[in-house]
Amino acid sequence: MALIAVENLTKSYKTFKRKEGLKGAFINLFKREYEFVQAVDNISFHVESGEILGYIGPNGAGKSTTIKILTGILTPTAGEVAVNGLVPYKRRQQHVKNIGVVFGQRTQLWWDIAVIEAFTLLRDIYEVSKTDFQAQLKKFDEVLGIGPLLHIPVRKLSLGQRVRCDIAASLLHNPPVVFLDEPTIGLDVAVKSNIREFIKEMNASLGTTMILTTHDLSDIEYLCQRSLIIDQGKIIFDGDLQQAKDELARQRKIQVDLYERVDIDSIRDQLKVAELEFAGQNDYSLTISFNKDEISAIDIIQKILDLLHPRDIKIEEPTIETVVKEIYEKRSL
Amino acid sequence: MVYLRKFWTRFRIYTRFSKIRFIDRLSYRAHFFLVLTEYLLIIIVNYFLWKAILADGRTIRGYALEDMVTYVAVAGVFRFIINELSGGISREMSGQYHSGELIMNLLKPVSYQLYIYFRAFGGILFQMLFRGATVLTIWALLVGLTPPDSAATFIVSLALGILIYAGIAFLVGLTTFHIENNAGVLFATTASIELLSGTLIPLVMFPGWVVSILDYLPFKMIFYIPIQIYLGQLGVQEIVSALIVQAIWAFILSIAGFLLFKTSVRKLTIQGG
Amino acid sequence: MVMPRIFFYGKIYLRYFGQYFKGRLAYRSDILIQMVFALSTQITSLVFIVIIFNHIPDINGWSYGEILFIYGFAQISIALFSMFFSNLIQLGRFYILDGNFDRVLLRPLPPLFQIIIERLDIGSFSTLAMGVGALLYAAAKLDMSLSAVECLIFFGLVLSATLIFAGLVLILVSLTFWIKDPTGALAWPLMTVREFAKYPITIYTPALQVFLSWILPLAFTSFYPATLFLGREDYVLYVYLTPVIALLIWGLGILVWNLGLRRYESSGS
Repeated sequence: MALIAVENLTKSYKTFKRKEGLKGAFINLFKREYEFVQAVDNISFHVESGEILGYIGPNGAGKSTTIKILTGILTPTAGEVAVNGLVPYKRRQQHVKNIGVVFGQRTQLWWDIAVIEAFTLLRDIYEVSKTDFQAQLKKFDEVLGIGPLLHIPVRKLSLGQRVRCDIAASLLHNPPVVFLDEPTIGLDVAVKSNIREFIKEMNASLGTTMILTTHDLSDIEYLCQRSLIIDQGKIIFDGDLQQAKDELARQRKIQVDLYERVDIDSIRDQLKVAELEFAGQNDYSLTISFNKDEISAIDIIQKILDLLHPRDIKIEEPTIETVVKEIYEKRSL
Repeated sequence: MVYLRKFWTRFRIYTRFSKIRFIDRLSYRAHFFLVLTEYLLIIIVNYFLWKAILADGRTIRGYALEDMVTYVAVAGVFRFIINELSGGISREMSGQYHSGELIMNLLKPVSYQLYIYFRAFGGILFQMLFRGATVLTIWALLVGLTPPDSAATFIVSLALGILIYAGIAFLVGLTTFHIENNAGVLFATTASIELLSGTLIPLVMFPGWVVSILDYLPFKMIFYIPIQIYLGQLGVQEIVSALIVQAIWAFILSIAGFLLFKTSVRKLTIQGG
Repeated sequence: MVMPRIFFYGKIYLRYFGQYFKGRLAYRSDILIQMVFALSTQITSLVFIVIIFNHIPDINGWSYGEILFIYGFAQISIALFSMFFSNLIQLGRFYILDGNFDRVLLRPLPPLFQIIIERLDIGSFSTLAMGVGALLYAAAKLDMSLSAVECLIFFGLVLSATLIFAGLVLILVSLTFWIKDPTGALAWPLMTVREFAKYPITIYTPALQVFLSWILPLAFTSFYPATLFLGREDYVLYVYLTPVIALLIWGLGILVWNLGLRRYESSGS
């Protein structure tokens, strides 16, 4: 059985249209026009135990609404949700004992007290035994290096240190599911990779199932075998984004830097590819776009070398961003 | 003539600061009514207290119930002014000091003290035109209100009282340069001023030794003198001398603020904040 | 796990309490400022009473000692409220508007319990001391001597009085689930209306007395329970009603809170 099962989940909000200005404010007092917003529109998915699931979507797509329902903060309008066999919003207090939640932008710890004090307080709240607690702390220290941070008040931690402590705090009671909401936001590259490493390590050693929402697609690239993309309340992609990159992004680019200006039309005839143009203003740089199903990069490079004396050749790989962009565009067509 | 015009242009610049604060205060509507209710409730409690205290025609040091009916209402409205000045001068200054806005304001070609004063005056104008007028109208209809004995002298005396408190509030605000968190000083002075300026109890009811000490301090000049003029308790000669003393206090406190601000800023610029 | 839940909550409360103190000790000057603040808002009414009784023997048939006793009782319940329940006032702004309520919902403890225990107002210690001082002085002046049982009843009544005020605040702040209240201003007028409860309610008009007894039952937070110790027979029934009112108000408060919570869960804001 799947650890998380979401069936036909729908959440709609009733919001009232606020009229602008003084006159509008007056009208609002007496007559309110309501409109329904479908934040989540009939979505279904399953997450198996031990998975790291990437959950992507633009702001307002329904991403945080889904997470709020899964964590028990929100009740859905329709559909069914089960996490660890519990319906989150029906037995919230019991449910939240089995999950961990990290918000990258906001700490879950208490501002004024030292990290270790916060941890022991959480230990008491989640009723973790002393031996389990010590074992968890030791493990976190090995991977995250939080040992030196334990006696510092939370307010004095840097953002990276704080996020590390927050992730550790969410895992103290060893929950089977952890929700990570933008855990790497605002962090520098070194700290980011440290945190990704930790997430991967905890997933591997504890078998913790993780749901990761992020704007940084390199997090997804590094951590997630499977991703969901949500847009306007609907799931528009469910699968491996790496694989999707190969499947969807068929358009590739080769950039050729030259010593001298060449006749672009004659090269186009020789190469028999659709797109060919001079990039930049100096006319010494040639960009060749092609569909990788029609012609391979090797063929193009070979022909270029036959025809010209390039100074440099670069092949541009599609980024995961372009893939996601393409998925959105495909949907809007 | 040239000086007069120059003065007028400068004055116009400062009134713009008043206008900004005035408009700013206008924009919180829900807040407006809540504060109004709160102050009205305090006036009502005080009214019932005095009604019980001065029942059966009892008087204390010449104050009968009909005097106190007006006294509590005017005092209640004056608390708006005290609040506006402690918030708009003292708290504003420490807020600006900690946010760094104060330093930015020093770079402008205006006097910081006058800038702060005029902003607060804009707030006071708002308090008087909207909250004060509303409270007094409600009170006049509900319980009754004696009009001032001499409106013109009362207004002059009230303006001087406001200027004296503005001077004190500015000095309290200056403590922000020297104390890490001056909120305690602020709370304590605001509470003392409410008590010692007579907004709670007519000062004459205090024990004799307190009254004679208060004669040498500026606090009674803030509210007690104006309300005495309002109630017609002072003779012409007393009024004239009271107004002169008020003016002297207003001048002394503003000059003290001016000089201490200079030394505080010098300390700030030497230490680099 | 075998441990009964009540002990668990008691333990958590004490742990939060301890952590809060440790955290606050880092800002010793803040505690001082809180004390000055609490004192400066509450001391004026004491000064008022002291000065007035220099001139008159009684107010509405109530002697200096009696008025001080009622005042002291009110002050103690106000101070205890501020100390243990004043974080409720933060619901609108800090919790709902700033998004901290989600964090509360994600912990395996009842949300109301969490909000109450997350912050204590240590500064109210100053007003508590003031209230106790006034009460003891009044008791001495009235030649009051209390038996052990009467002391127990006294503490029971102080507790009920505190709970009544806290319950009223709970009802009011629970409305922020429906009404956006960014400044937390909804509870302000209530903080002012309790000034009415510092004095014998006989000084007010009958309509106001009914209002303070049955609509906004603030008279039960000071005047009615205090009369038991002043030997006034007329209000005995009201004295025994005090704990009942406390239970009713809390019942109503929890009801409104739960309705608000359900609304929050379906709207997410």
